[in-house]
Amino acid sequence: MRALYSAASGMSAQQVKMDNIANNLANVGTTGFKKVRESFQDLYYQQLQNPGTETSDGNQDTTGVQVGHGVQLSSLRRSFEQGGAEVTGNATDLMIDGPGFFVVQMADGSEAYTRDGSFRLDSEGNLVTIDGAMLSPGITIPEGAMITVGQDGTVTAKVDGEESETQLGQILVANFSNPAGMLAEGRNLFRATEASGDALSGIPGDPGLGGILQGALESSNVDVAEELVNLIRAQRSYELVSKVIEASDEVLQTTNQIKR
Amino acid sequence: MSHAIYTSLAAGTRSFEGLDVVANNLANADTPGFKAQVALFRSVSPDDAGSEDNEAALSLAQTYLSLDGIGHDMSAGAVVTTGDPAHVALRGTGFLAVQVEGGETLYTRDGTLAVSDEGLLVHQSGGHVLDEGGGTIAIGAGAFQIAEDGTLTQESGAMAKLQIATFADPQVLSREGSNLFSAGGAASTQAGEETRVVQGALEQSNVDPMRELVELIRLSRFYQAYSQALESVDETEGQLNNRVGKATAS
Repeated sequence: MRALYSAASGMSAQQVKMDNIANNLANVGTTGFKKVRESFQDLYYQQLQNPGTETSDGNQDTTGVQVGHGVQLSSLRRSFEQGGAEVTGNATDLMIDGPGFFVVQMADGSEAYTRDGSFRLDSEGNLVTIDGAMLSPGITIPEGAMITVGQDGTVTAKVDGEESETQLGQILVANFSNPAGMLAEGRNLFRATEASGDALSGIPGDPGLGGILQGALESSNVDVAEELVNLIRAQRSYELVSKVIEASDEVLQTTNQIKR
Repeated sequence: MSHAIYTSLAAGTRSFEGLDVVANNLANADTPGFKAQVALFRSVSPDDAGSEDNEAALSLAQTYLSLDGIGHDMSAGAVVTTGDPAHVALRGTGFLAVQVEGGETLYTRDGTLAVSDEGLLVHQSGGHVLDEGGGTIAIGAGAFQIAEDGTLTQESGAMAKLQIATFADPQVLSREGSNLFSAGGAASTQAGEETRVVQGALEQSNVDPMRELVELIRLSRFYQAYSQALESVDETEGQLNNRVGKATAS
């Protein structure tokens, strides 16, 4: 009875879809969050009759008989579509307008990537993420200085007692040939993997890399209406395939009652 | 034994197979580019086959239900925009060509594509999407556009044109799983004006839940009817055995 298992595969696929929608919706207010889309594939088919075989009345079978075994989750793919800009006016809030990621250095020395540009200053004046990971290459801001971040990522400040602006450093952004292949680590951080390819970092605004906007944050790219429509669909699909389980069960019950 | 019991058995078994098809369709109601399967049933009378030398058998009302084939419902699914530049939907009858591991070229209506770590355009099954000439498609850094006729362009200019295969009779295609179809040697031609590529959108499954549910109800009721027929045949033959047995004994 393939029907039972095909239907069960449909139910578990819809279950994963609902889990994913829940996570997207929960992160509707998360800075720099990128929604995840699930995609499904049909499973393999059992060939009961090959096309082209001769039928009982001597004609050629034009279609053959292939019975499928349901559905599988093929991938949960992150969509790096640009999120909206939320103007905060805070000088250390940065946003990448276009593709690319901020590069941050974790406590263990490894590099991680993020779209969340809500940077703060630590006790030594370094620009760090909310979790304390340093921007890489690091930028140290003298006490009391007002910084300006250019679209190309140059950080300048007017230090007390000096006439001209001093350049403090350069923010780099990195991109990957396959950003969807990155590993999400939580805390708005991503890691490079074999699937994503190596990080290609460069000056913001270069071809293929977005420029920096100061005083703004990128909001989550989750579209609530879209998620709700998907949720309704997932719930209804779940209901539908569960009907097949019911029907298969009834059929088996009927079979058991043939000979009492 | 009468033929009735076998007729019921055949019909019952076919209902099972029909149910398998409905289950697979409904499980794939959310699979991009999925085409519903349609079970084609037909009543077969073995007496029809070689009727000339089989005249005596003609008097027997003996028909079986047979599963003639499972066709593809190739009607278009709804096109939904996703905004992902690597997603494409095909309007019209064409298929994307995908080269899977081992070098075989398969075909799909599922445009869930992506750029791999090697910078190649790939299908979600992992196979490489092919261009008009049958080569893989390399995508450089930066944005890319796909025109209605399948031409891919980047800042550097036009790079490649998607292979969009059309078949004289799509029913010859067989299913390979992972949303892929195999042509099994059937020739394809590059689609002309009739197939348009829509970038940033996906074609949804064309499974019609209403139709499948009706089919589900029909098949389970059929199955009940056949099993009841089977029971009454059994009862009749039981009575026959009983009475004949008594008659012989007395």
